[in-house]
Amino acid sequence: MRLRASKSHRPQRRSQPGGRRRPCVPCAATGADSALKEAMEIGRTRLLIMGTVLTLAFGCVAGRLVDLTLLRPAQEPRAAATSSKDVIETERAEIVDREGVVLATGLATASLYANPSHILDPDETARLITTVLPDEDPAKLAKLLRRKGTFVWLRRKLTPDQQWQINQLGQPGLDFLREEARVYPHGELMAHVLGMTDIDNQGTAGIERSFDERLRGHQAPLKLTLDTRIQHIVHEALDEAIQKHSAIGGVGIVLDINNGEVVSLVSMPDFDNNRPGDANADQIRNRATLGTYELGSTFKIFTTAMALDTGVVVLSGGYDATNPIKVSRFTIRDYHAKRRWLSVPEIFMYSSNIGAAKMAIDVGGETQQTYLRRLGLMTPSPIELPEVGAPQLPKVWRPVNTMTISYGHGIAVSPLQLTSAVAAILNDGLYHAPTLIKRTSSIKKKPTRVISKATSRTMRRLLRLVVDQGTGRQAAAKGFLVGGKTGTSEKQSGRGYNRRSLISSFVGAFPMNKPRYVVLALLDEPKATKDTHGYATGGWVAAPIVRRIIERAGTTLGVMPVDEETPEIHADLAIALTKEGPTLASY
Amino acid sequence: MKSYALLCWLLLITAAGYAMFHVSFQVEELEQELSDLNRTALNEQEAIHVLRAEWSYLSRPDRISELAKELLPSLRPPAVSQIQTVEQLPEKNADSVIPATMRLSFPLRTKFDD
Repeated sequence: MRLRASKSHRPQRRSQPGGRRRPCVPCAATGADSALKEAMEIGRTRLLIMGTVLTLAFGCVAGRLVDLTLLRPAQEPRAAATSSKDVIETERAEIVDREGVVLATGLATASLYANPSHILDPDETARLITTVLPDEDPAKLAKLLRRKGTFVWLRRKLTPDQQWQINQLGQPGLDFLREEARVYPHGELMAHVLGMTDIDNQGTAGIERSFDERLRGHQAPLKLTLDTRIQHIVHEALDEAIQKHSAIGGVGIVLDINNGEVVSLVSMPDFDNNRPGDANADQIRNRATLGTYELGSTFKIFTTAMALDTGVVVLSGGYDATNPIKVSRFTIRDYHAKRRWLSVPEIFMYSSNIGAAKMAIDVGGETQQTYLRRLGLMTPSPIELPEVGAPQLPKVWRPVNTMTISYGHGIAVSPLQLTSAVAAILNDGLYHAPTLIKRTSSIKKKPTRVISKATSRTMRRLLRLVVDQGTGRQAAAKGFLVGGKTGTSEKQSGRGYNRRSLISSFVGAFPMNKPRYVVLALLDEPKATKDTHGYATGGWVAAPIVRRIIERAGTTLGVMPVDEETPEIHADLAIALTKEGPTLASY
Repeated sequence: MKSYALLCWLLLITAAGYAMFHVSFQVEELEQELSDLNRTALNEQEAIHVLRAEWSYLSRPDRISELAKELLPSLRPPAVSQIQTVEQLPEKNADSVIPATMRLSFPLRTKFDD
């Protein structure tokens, strides 16, 4: 009731502010009371104003309370930033191998900086820092700490242990910034391919440099065609051979014939790209792509292929290799001289320089250049590395150049160029540009035709013959139908060749009835040992490396060993050695 | 009647106010929880990232081969003759026993045995 009464009175009061008095029923209207009434009326009015102000104020508080608790502004962050991806955001994307194994990644580290304006005693602080980082010069540090300004780097990328010790010093003005350090878990295993980055995480060599923008722009890992397991096998086989033959370096390459993917690429000596500062120039030099060498007899693969492809000679044809050829001041002679007429397979098998030179002259210099260009031997390799060597070609292509180039002298190419050219010869004549980046099939480059399919088939037989009966017998990994060609050349020293310093190589492929992979092994200046009978040639020092690689990596690469003596394989790979001679039925 | 309606309204307003604040606080609590979980997730992701690098480092083929030489001295790399395809395996029949040649001829020994 009271509620109702007061409510009913309120509008009345509000409608007459400070005006007429409300009738006061219990009191009698006397003259003496009028002054009191006046005073009370004033009091009421004041109370009313006071009440209104307070109500408004509390209203505001209540409104604000609702506003704050229920209607929070949109820009206020409601939750910690989430990452919808499986991996955290890094400055540079990871590099992984074809199986997804991490090859390069960024890890958070702390970098030490100082705010010189907060440093109390620069000399003492510098001295204390050198107790943790002994390789720093205290005088230099003190000079840095005396600088004007609020920021100076003292040391980038500390180990967690160093960071803890610096913190323990308790010196004011020292602080850390979180930085990302590039880490290569596999160390030297892929150092030449991966390359390295500088202190500011900019790529300075290898894939890190050629894909610098991609690695900094995207988070998705960059997938390479390399296979860590195969890389290890090649690395180990090559390392052993280098030790055994006291070579100054070596190269090992495994290339997928069907798509040009580089499965393994090793250059020795190598270095740990986690500590590039410790490496010398020779270690950093990528011999597989940057180094160019006169590779010797492996070029007979191309000479024979172009001769057969142009039809200047047929497989049963041949050349007289009885006497050395004299051209101007050169004499071309055979290393394994037979001193008789040799058929094309024999020229290839015994690696006859005379036969190859005569074949090349029949092909002609112009045609030779056309074929070499198609095989990618006249231009730098299109591999995705910044360290690519340009081939060294004769300035003027004289007949003598045509002859020497036929057996791999007077032209220097990188081992990778040779490998991808051999792959083209065996891949039904289709050349795939070598690549280190695993691509989806849609953006693969179309291969180009180099030689005919028929010639390619013949070349398979010829390469198989070399391993079965010729100079490459040491490469025979039983069951994998290895074919290949040896190459030995003398390194140039001054104006002539040095007979003692050789480049010995072997380029092999398997399985020859349907080639899948090309394997190249090269040793730089190998020395002969007792069990190579004083030889340091490709057939003795490089072919065994290829055999080891294929024996160990063959099944990993998805090639099943087969019985090499079945009639089907004989039919696939048999070859007639001479026109008059017997067909090798046992082959 | 009027007072009854007013009471209803008052009750409704109180209930709505309570519900509103209750939901609001609940949302806040859940947001806090989400934020915590996200932070944990980020930390975990970072840990996974580091562990992936460490796994890659620890599973280096050269290290594995060293360990294999040391801890599994009786194992050797497989010879080509040891590799067979599934098709080359003989047909399995119910009463077949494992031939002696397929049993381990040596005890598998690790460093942790003794």
